[in-house]
Amino acid sequence: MQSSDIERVVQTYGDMLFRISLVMLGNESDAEDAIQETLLKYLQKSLVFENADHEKAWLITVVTNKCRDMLRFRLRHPQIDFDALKARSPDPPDSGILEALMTLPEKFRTVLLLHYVEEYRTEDIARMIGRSQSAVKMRLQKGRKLLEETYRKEFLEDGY
Amino acid sequence: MDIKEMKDAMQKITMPEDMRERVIKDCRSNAGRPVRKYSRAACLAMLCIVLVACSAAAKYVVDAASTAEASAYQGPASVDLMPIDWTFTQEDVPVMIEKLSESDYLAVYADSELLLRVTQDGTVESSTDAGTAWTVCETEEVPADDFSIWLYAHDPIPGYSMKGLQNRLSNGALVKHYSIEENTKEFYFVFDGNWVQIELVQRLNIKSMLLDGQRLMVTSDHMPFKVSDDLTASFQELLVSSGILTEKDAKKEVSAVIKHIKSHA
Repeated sequence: MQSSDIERVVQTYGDMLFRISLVMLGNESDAEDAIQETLLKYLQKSLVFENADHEKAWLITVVTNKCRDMLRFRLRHPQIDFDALKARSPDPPDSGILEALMTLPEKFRTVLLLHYVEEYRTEDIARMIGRSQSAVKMRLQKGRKLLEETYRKEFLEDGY
Repeated sequence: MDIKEMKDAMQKITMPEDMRERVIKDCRSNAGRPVRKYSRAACLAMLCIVLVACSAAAKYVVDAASTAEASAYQGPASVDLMPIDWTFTQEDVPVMIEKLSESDYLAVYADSELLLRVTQDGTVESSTDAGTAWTVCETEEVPADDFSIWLYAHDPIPGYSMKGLQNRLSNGALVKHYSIEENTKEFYFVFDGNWVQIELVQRLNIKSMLLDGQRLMVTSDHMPFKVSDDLTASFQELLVSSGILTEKDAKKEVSAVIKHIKSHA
């Protein structure tokens, strides 16, 4: 890949990579590191893709792997910065749903994001995150349930 | 609860402009690194030269080169050679890393069969009798550029910054390689300034513990992650006998780490 392509990749996929890494890692600083590592790998490997979807899927796979590496091998649990997520949304909902999402374990946040926000099918998500399709379906189902429970308990009952 | 509300809010989240600019700038500056000045064919030729010059490193070069030739799409890097690890950074274990820097050693390593330590002058010593006798290991120097390429192909970034390590390699870090047991267990020592970082290569996953200038790393032979009491005791003893920590501090520091792993694994 030419360095001039970097701008295109960042302009095309930067927002998506930022959303994924921010939701997985919970703060902007770690998210930036994950994006940087992903693009560095992309740059160094001189990849040729079949099409734009292939390129996008590759980037998602790598950035989710990077984020998981960062989560798995750190003693400190990442600080979830709710304000960062809301601050980056120009029209954040007052309902508390973003906060509810961020209180879920990472594995649920990731599949919920990829399915409901990035609109990937479960078989695509399974390939991207290296899990079986049934595992992804389970995570979606359980994640959705947990999200509802958390939302109801933490935010509706607290008068959000 | 309205999922659509979440979706709409999330889809409006954009990467901050200053971050976008930093990312592009950093990638461009990395694109200017010497290794990227060569074409793939030139890289391949360079790797072939290394094949002759450095037999131990050559197998990795072949792996990287053959992967590049086999398919234009190389996919995610292979992590087959890397240990299953749990890594603690300087912020996590400041006492251990600080005391290491004040000791006579740059790094220490322990597994069930081998103890290893790196002295302040860069000598690598090993012991196979629980530290009774130490012998100097015969290491070989590996070109930093070749190790850099190998890292991109095989390293899963176990708890450290790839960018940071690549920067150190491009800034003249010295790389030494040591392998034992027919290459099933290998070590790359990256010397940079006053400290060393060790990259472990495990073709067969084993339990081990490693402390170097960058991190404390504990490895498991399988997932879910398991720690060994014998290994923990052996590593503690190594820290004490090498004069890095007192017996009391070694027990306290190592126990905290193991407790964390057991409660989170």
